[in-house]
Amino acid sequence: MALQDVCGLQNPPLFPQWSAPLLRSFMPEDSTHLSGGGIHGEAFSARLPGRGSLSPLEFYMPIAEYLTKSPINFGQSSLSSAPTCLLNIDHLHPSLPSISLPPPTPCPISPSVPLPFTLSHGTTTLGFAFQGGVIAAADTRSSCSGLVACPASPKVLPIHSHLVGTTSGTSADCALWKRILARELRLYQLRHRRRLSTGGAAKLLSHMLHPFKGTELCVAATLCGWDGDDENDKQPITDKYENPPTNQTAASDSSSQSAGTAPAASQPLVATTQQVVQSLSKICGPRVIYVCSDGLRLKGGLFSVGSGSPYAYSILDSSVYWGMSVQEATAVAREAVFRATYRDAYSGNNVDLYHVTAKGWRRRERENLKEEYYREKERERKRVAERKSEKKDVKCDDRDV
Amino acid sequence: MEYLIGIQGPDFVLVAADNVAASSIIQMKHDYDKMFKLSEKILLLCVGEAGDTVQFAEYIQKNVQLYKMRNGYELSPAAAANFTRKNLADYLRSRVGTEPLRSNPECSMIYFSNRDSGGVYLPKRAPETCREQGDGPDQIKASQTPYHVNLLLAGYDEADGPGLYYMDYLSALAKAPFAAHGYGAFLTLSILDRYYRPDLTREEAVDLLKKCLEELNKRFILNLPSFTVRLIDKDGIHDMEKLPVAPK
Repeated sequence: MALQDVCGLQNPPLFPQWSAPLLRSFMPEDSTHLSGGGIHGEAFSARLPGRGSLSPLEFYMPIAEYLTKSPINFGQSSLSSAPTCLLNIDHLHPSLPSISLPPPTPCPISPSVPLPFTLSHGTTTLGFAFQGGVIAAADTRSSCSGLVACPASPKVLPIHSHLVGTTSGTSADCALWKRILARELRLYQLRHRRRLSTGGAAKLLSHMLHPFKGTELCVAATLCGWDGDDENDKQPITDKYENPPTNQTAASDSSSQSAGTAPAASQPLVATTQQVVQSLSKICGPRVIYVCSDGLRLKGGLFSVGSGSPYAYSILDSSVYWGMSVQEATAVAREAVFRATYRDAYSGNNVDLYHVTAKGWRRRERENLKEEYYREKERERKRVAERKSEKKDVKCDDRDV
Repeated sequence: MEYLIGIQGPDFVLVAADNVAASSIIQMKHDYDKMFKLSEKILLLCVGEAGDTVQFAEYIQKNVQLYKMRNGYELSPAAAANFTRKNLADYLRSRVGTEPLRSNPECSMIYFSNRDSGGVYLPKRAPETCREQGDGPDQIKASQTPYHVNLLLAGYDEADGPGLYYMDYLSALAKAPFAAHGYGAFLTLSILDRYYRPDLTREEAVDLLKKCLEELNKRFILNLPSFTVRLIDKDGIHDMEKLPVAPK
């Protein structure tokens, strides 16, 4: 199954079947084929509950399983046509709404006021590397033309055991290309008996997206991963994180298999165990790479993407440094997303946070930022009250003297 | 937004490029290197549209290296410049269906297979014009796939000496004693006109470069905090210290 199968489709690319060859006649209305795909689809969603990489940023379609797992219960109907909602497998067809709905670029809030730059990525995502690994964080609001289509969509998608990608742009495109990337990385791993590095994965994604330059495909991803063969992390992780492979049923079967094969493959390649070095090491260590569908591919230590990114950058630039602890890093990432969601209309709801280390990725519990906002207000109030009382005490002291 | 400059001396070429990788109003990276090493003594500086720069420059880079592997000797700077220009010109008016040079029609596959077609791999691109609804990138009738890149190619040849070649996105090629690309070029070309002499020493060339960058800092509306500077002479490519021009 090559890229040409996907490129050759008449409609915008659908999810390629892992086992069956992709037919040109694969039309969404063909329910008979869907039954075979349905099994796959259910299996796929069973592998990724709550991950919901299929739930779009721009267009929302309900997935029964996903709804029950979502922290926010909502019963709003999807924006796509009603009959497709009934199918449990309509998450395989992000193409349907794309035909009926307006193009992905959201229209400005007040068209009369010219925007300083195009708000084409309605999101806030960020990723940065530090001594304890890589933090990837994102909000969870999916917007479509000024309407919140989904308040609980995951924008950080695990690709394999040591690589997560934050997504920005058109959700369907992001979900599809992440999946294609995951497939290609797995194939590479099977063929060459080692995991492809984050830089290699970024280059692969960039080259795969290049033929679509100039089209409406819009994917702006930050690949956050850990390179290297060392499965034994020298530093213990001290935070309470959820364990990804058992609870979240990680990215695919490949992640559990890769954890098994990677140590075996590591021995012939690396003679000495890699140490966690103080800076971005050339051989192994944390990596953050930004890949955009317009062709930009940047390797760095800190990236933020989306309409809320300027707000996030201003928090991150002052607070992120290499030697920070995991707690600090998590707190800074949370606060950056929180501030961005506060100011940016297209970002909001919850914050997802992933932490990637040599052992793999771990996912933090999704947190509702509304609570954070009220906690912040409470803190402010308390601080003001404290300062007032301090001033009063000082005045009293002065009077006594 | 981006800025490239090159100054040729009697036995060297001095080139500099800014280090900012920007996306709309955000500086995404402050230490981005816009120079691509084509061979031991040839540098390609490339600015322009986001993905086109890296894609085209890497393509030229790999093909120059392929030439060396096949023939045992390196392309001269003049030959490399003309090769680059030819490719840029071919893509300027290329049409899907009539592939330029010897291209691989299944080139979207090249990233996954290990075949060597023996020809020159050309990355196929989606054309810029609007497409009919539902057509994939293969089915376009008449359209163009130009690369919007502005280049400076600097090199040292054993026989011909140093050479600086200016190339723009319409694939106009000119060998010039000094050249610049970007909005900053408007501000700095007259300084180069005024102070350039064909027999510049290395120190004088660096001073001239510093003058240009100071002017940029003073008058250019955008902040370009640092520049990568490299010098090419008969001994190869030398990294010089980055020029941080302190904001006044």
